[in-house]
Amino acid sequence: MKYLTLPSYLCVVTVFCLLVACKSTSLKIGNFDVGKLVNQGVKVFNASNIDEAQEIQFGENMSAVLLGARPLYENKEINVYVNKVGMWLASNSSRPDLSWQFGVINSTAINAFAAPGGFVFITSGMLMQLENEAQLAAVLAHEISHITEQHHLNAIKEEANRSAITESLFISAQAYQDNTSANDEDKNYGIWAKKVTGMAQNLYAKGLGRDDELQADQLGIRLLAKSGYDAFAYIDNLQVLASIDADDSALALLYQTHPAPSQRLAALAEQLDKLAMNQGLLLTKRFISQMN
Amino acid sequence: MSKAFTYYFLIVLPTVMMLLAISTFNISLAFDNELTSQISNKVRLGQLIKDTHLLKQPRYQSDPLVLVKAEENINIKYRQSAWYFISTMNSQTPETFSGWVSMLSVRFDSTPKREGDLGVQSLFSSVTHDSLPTVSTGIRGFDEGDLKNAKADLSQLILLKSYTVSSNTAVAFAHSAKLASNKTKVKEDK
Repeated sequence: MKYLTLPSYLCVVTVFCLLVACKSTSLKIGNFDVGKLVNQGVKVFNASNIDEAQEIQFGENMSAVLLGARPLYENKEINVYVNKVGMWLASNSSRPDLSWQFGVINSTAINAFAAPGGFVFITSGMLMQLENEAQLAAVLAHEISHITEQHHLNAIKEEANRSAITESLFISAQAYQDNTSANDEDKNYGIWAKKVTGMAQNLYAKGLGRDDELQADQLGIRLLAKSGYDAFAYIDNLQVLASIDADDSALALLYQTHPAPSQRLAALAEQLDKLAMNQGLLLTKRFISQMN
Repeated sequence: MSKAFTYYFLIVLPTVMMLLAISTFNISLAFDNELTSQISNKVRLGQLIKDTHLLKQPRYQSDPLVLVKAEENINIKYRQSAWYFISTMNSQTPETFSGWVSMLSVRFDSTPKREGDLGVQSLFSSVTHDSLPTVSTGIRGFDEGDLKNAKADLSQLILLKSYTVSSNTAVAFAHSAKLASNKTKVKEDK
């Protein structure tokens, strides 16, 4: 009797594991459990209250859409650095236990994004405008605040209520199942993914409400201070953004989805007095060494 | 003549050298202790957005020095907390004035967007020498149309996950730079 060699053994074990995984979820891409998403997705639209697990599922899918528009900047060191800064801020936020994930999107656009459940993105174009770690933290703190306040999730709920999306999803899913021979999970996923994708596309293109943006500024600058950074780097960022030619196409989407930097600065005036004694750090040298 | 000579070599020269040494020492100290400094030292051009008194010290209770008109061109020399130290650049008058103003009183002059690759020396150059790299990456930005045409890319989520760090790692990372949580309330209005 021949014994299996180590590579063969590993191969058999891997195939066995994959089969078990596929059986439990039906559909997996890499480590990503699409089958779970299908179930969560259908439940999301059937429930008025969205729990944290469902919030994360929403965020994963909105992030997938965003990264479908532009992929991640594939430099592990820079992404890990951004994750360390972001995770430190998140640990000082009101939702430290979320599974926070931060990424750099490869785009010359100057922008940053958040998705429900702890997903935060900054473009490489925005990163290029920054000069120190405190400014990076300022961008991330703004996006983290959108997540802790569930701004995107609330916008989705409002949109769902307004457009009776729950009902339309259910009806279209049923009609699809009745008229095709595809298996149920594939059918559900296809329809659900289309709905979620559509909502994510609209939300990122239109942006959140003005009040949500201003609240994220108010909370973001305080989170920056609470985390030990120089809180006034937040103002620095906005002043630098305000100084870039408004016609620059790199800023088009940012201006389309956010109040003008001058309005955001005016709204932060009160915070400036409250944080007058802040003695936080800029960490310019560490930022520069990480970017090189 | 010899009195002037003595005066120059025994008083003026040593004083100048001492001042130079102190100044160099301070610059060096500021650089070495960058982790504890919160002063940003990049000179920018800008204007005041409203008529503003230059102050002697970076605080509201400080003595006013002179009133500077809105839209007047200024050099924004450095920042301390929420205050910029500026000097006027009025071509109509030979005098220049310097003093402190609130950050929110100034507007930076328009600048072109900085472009270039991350991870290259150009970023370091742009910060230390105040020059703007102009290398284009060729990577496009994205707009509403890009988002509307986007298809979900689940494989990117796997890559994203691979970059995550634990909270313990983040705490160690923060502490290595002497970052510490303080008592600022994140949601004091609630």
